[in-house]
Amino acid sequence: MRRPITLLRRIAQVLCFSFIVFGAFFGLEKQNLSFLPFVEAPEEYNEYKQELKQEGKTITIVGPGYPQAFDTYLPIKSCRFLRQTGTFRACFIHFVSECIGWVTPLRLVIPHILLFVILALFFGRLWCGWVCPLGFIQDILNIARKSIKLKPFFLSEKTKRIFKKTGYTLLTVIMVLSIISAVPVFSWSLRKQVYLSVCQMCPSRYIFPYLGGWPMVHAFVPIGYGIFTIISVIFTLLLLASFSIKRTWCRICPSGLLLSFFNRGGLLNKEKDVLKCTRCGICLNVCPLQNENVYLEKKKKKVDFADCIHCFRCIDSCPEDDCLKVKFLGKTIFKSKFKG
Amino acid sequence: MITAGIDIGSVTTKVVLLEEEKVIARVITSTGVHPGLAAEKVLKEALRKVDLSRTDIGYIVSTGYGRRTIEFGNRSITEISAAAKGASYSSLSTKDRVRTVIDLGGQDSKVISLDKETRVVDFVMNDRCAAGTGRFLETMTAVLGVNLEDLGELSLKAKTPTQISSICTVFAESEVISLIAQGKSKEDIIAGLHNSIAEKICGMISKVGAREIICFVGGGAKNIGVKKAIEDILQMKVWIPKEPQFVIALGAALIAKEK
Amino acid sequence: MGILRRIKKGSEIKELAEKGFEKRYPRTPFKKEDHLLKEKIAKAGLKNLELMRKVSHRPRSISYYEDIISKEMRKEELKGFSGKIIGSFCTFTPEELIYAAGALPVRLCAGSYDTISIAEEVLPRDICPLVKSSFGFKVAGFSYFELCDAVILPTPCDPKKKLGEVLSDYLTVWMLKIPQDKDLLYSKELWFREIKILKERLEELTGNKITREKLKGAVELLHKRQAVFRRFYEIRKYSPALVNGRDAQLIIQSSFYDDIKRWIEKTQKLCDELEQRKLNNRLPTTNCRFLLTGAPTIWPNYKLLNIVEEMGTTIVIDELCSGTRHLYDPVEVDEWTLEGMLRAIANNYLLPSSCPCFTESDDRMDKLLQTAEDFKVDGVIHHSLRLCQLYDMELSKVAKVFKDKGIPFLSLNTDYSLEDVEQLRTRVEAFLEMIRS
Repeated sequence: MRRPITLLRRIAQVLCFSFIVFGAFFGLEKQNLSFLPFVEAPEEYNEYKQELKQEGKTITIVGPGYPQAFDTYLPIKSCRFLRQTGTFRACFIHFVSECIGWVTPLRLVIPHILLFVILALFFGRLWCGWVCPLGFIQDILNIARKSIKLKPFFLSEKTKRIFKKTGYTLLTVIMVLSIISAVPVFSWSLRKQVYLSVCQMCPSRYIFPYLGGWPMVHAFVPIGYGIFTIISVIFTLLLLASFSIKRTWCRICPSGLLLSFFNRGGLLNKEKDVLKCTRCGICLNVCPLQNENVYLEKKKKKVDFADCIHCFRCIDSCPEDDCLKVKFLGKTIFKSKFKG
Repeated sequence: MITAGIDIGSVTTKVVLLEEEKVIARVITSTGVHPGLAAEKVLKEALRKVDLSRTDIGYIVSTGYGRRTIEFGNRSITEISAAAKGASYSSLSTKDRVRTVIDLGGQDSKVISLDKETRVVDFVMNDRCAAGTGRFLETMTAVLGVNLEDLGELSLKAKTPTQISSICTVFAESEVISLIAQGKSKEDIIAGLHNSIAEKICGMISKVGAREIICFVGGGAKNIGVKKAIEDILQMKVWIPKEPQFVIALGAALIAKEK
Repeated sequence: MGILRRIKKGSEIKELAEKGFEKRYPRTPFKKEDHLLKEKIAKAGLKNLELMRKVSHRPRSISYYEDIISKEMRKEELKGFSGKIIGSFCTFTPEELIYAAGALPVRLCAGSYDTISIAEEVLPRDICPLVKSSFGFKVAGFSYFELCDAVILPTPCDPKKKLGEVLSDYLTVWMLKIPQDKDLLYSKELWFREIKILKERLEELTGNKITREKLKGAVELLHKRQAVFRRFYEIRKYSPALVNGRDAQLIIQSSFYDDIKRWIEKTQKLCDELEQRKLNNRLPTTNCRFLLTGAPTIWPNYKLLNIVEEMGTTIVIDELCSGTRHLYDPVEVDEWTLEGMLRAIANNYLLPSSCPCFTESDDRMDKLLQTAEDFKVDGVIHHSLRLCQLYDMELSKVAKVFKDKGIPFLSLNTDYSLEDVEQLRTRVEAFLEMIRS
């Protein structure tokens, strides 16, 4: 078998995709599913009420209630637009954005943050490569292109840097807008418009409804400012461009970026035996993110980098025995092998 | 137990008879056209000197260029190992161990580097070009009209050593002739020749690294002029053991004793 | 950015492919027949075979390789071949393209001492003996060189670079300009351009278009050869050694011009036989394991190999372009489009190469150290050819790398002539004594 790790990954991706997107068909209702069953919201937070003085009038705002904020959130795009058939309520960025927006007390939020940190430390961006349904969709597009024998498009160094900057800008913008939606200084209409900007800008908004999420009409309602709709269309086109450019969305995904901070120090590492490496450049050729670190590294043992989605194609394709290894908690799980 | 070490060089053949760490005989002859016969002759002579026969010798080790030409030897080794052994044994009386060995033979020269336990760690040989070997000096003696043995003494009397620019022996010979015609003194020319040969040797030393004690063996070591020239270039002291021309044969005999 | 954009455009490739040498000052090609030369060369080959046959316990399958390398049968087969025959030099020539175009590749690097003197009537005396020896065959007008319709000449070093113009008086020469280093931005793209130009030229000469299917077939065929070679490589790791260095060189060098399918089949059988020997415990003894690196030792210039192995030692592995480097690295294709395959082929022939023709050599040091460790060698012998500056310039670095690791190292400088056999023998013997103490 030429690429065993990739085969394993495809199986995992299919299973996770079915589980996340079509969980309802497997009898999984999101309200019953929780990673942290012992964490329950206190009684008084069942309904959220806030009173505001605006233009001389007192307005009462009723929020969604904290119990709903305690549902499970995966570090990947387990999207809220999959409301009807999906297993999870929303993604982690949505959770963070909402908590900032509703100024949730920290002690109620901490278990989820801890959960996220643990999941991220343990697996880093493995979530992106093996679990995320948007990642799976991008890979399907790539496979479609390969089957009709079209050539891929490689990005130049300058474009890669622009993508990276866009990603960080996006994350910052989301956080800033979430803070704005919480601060009473701004007008209520502004705060309403920028609330949940992450979902307004996310390409999942146009993709997941087709897979059995919200009724279609909700997907296209231009919530918030029209600018967010334009941005989300651009991002969707970018995601669809992963037909030619591999994993375009993963370069700017905010969930991915949050996970990427844990990629280097985490418990899942890639290691390289620098003497065995013949600098054949195959790992560089197969990497969907066109990363050169694995190819260039000749001093240190660890070859992790922020963008890596842990697809392990480099390890699958490396022709030298035991040159590249995947280690989890210090134990080797996968290693490169010459396949005749 | 008596052992014998035979060094069959390209110009001279030497034998050393060893009895329990003590040298009992040393004989030298010119190799001539038949190295095997020269080896036989020199062994017979040595045995006659101490009144012994072939059967009294426990083990014979041959070394040198013609080491494989004899059938009566028990083993052959290269002159590099033999030189290392011989030089370190000869230096037992000195405080420190020998770390570098220079061998200036009739038709070749070599430098051997030893570690603290006097084992060979590196070596560099010049056996393709006459410059830097005894042949170089031998060729010049004919032109200068002096004897090979007097070269050392004469060079010490030099006032200003002349620079010899030719590297090749044949062209250097022509250069020496023209220098004599120019009226340069023999002592100065000889000192210049010694500098030439020393530069070649020091070039080889730099490839393996010079470490004290530096031991100078071989026929060329009998020439104190060359020793001085090497010391001047390296700025380090060079030590010549007693009977330097027999050191390699002694080394072979010592290795025979170990068997 | 502008330069890269122009490089990537395809129309430029066709123009460059048509451009050859300017030939404004042509010379008549110098040819000289020497009737005794063929016999001299055959004699040198036979002498080698005699020395090699003195070793007991050689694998039975080795006789096939002896026939290929010393007899005329392969030349007869090539004469009967209806397609084009493309000569090549070095390990930089992408053979996949040649097979895909329906032609046959023949590697022309030569090791014969006797053809050097006629070559010196045209070429200068003070250059690499390999270049002179190979050119001498063309001047003499027989052997594989005569069968070639075109020659691919990479430019790793100065003599090969300038040989192109001299050879262009005799037949079509296609230069493959190797970049000076392996940086990812320009060097990779320049080399990729050279490969595309070569593809155009092959299509033009043979009249066959290199389609995706044909190239896929060629890549898979060479994959098989590389897989068989890796199997052989792993077998060589076994201790005590199952096959000696001279036989291994014979096996690899016969693949320079042998029929590829037949070579693959025979080498599979050879590997089966060698693995059987492992089980039978009928193994030849060896008293020292060596790694040989440096300048190539091509048949019949096995002088150094004979000297080393006659002392009962075995050269268990080599890092020579006439040996392991020729067949070691695989082509791994990610996208099976025409461009994807060309890119994978281009990468394979440039990036992992440990030829000293590049400005940096640290990767070669890594490779040498890893090979010495994998094969558990007792010492390293470095062979440098007189007047080859590339290997000599790296010599001090290689020596230091091995000395720091505590692995015994010997450097030998020689050429194709047989006058210095005794001197080499003394050095190798002294090296052995040094290791054993």
